[in-house]
Amino acid sequence: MDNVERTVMPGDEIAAAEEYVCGPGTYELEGKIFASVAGRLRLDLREKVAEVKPFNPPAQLKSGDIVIGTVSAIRSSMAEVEISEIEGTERGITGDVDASLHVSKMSSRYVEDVRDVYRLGDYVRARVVQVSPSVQIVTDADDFGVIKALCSQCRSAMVLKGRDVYCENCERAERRKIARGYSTVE
Amino acid sequence: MGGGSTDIKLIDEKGIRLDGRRVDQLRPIKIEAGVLKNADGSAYVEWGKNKVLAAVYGPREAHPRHIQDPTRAVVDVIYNMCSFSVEERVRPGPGRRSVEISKVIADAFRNVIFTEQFPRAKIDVYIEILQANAGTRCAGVVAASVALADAGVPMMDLVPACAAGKANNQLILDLGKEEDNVGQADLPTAIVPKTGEIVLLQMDGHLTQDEFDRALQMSMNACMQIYELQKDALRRRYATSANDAPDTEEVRQ
Repeated sequence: MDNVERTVMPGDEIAAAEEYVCGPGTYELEGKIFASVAGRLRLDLREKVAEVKPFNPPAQLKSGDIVIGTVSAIRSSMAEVEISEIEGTERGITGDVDASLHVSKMSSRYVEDVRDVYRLGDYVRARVVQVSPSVQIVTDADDFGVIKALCSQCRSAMVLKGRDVYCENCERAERRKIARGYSTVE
Repeated sequence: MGGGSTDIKLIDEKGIRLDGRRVDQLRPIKIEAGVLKNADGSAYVEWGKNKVLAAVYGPREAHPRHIQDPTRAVVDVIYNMCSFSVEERVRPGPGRRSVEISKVIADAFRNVIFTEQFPRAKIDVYIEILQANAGTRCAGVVAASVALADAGVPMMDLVPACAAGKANNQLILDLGKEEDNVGQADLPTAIVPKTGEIVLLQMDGHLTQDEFDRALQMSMNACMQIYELQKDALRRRYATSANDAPDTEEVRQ
C-alpha cells in the first residue's frame, strides 16, 4: 500500500478520526480530521498518521537545528547566546531565542574558563539539543564554534591566525573555539 | 449610510443596479497570494474597485515582553487606509474607524488561528487599503486570511467575508459605494465555512428581523463563493513551487 500525498488547504477534510491519528498540521473536529495549514498531505498507511507538511512553515527551533547567534552574556560555567537565525530558513524565529551553552559542551576538549573559548559579541554556529523548558545548544564539533570573533578590547573583527584569532588593530591574539569555515559565512 | 434618502434610484425595474449587477451578484474578485517577498505571508485582493494588500509577519517574538501571553500567541491586526485610497485625502494614521475595524478583524481571526501552538509569540497582520470603494473590511478579511495561510499559520479554516444590505427597499449583495452611502442598511459578515460560525458581524442602518435573516443568508452564500476563490489563489501560489505532482486521489478502503 502506497502512502497518499496531495495538496491541501486549511480547512480541507482529510480523513475520519477513526482512521488516522492527527499529526502535525492537522486538527480534529467532530470525528473528522482537517488540515490546518496549506501544504502537502501525507497519509501514512502503516502508522495511520495524517500529517500536513506546510509549504511555508514558521521557523520554530527544533532539536537538531543548526543555528547562528551572538554571545550575549558570559557566566562562570556557561555562555548565553541569542539565536538570530536557523540555518536554511529566512524567516524570523518563533518563540524563545535565548539559548544557553554549557562549558562542558563548548568544545570536544576540556575548557578551563568560558573566556578561553568565547567572548561577548562573538558570532557562533551551534546545534540545538533541547528546546523546552529552555533552549540548550552545543558547539562540541568541528563545524561549530565562533564564525566571527570581535576583539575584546577594540570590538573590531578579528582574523584567523593559526589556531587563534588576531586583531590587526590592537596587534594581539585571543583564543577561541573556532568553527570550520571561520569568517567565510555571514 | 447617509440619511437613507430613497429617492435616488439605485436599482431599475429589471432589478439591475447602477454598476450593471443583479441584486444577488458579487463584484468581480481577484485574489493573489504571496505577492510580497519580505513578508512571511501576503495576499493582494481586487474586489470591484477595492484594492487591498495584506501582509503577515510571524509568529515571531512578541515585543515589548509584557504583551506576551505564556499560553498563546497574540494576534494583532492593523487596518490602514492609504491617504490616497478615497477621493478626499484620508488623514494618515489610525483613526476611530480604522481602530474599530482592526479590532473586529483581529477578534475574527483569534477564533480560527491555533494561537496556543505559539506561546509568547505575536502574529502581525497588516491590511493596507490602497483603493476603497465600499466593503473594504470584508476585502481586508479575505486578503488577511489568504496571507495568514500563505504564512503557514495553522488555522481552522480560511475566513471569507462579504456584505449584504438594503437599498431602495430591496435586499442587495455586496454593496457598492453609492449603495453604501445612500442605502438603508449594510451587513458585513465573516464566517468559518467549516462550522458555519460567524466570526464578524456588524450592522449599520435598519433591517427587520425577516430582512436580517435573508440578508445574512445572502452574504453567507456569497462567502462560500469567495471561499473557493481564496483556496484557488493559494493553490495557484503553490502550484508553481515545483513540489506539486499531479494530485493522487485519496484511496479509501
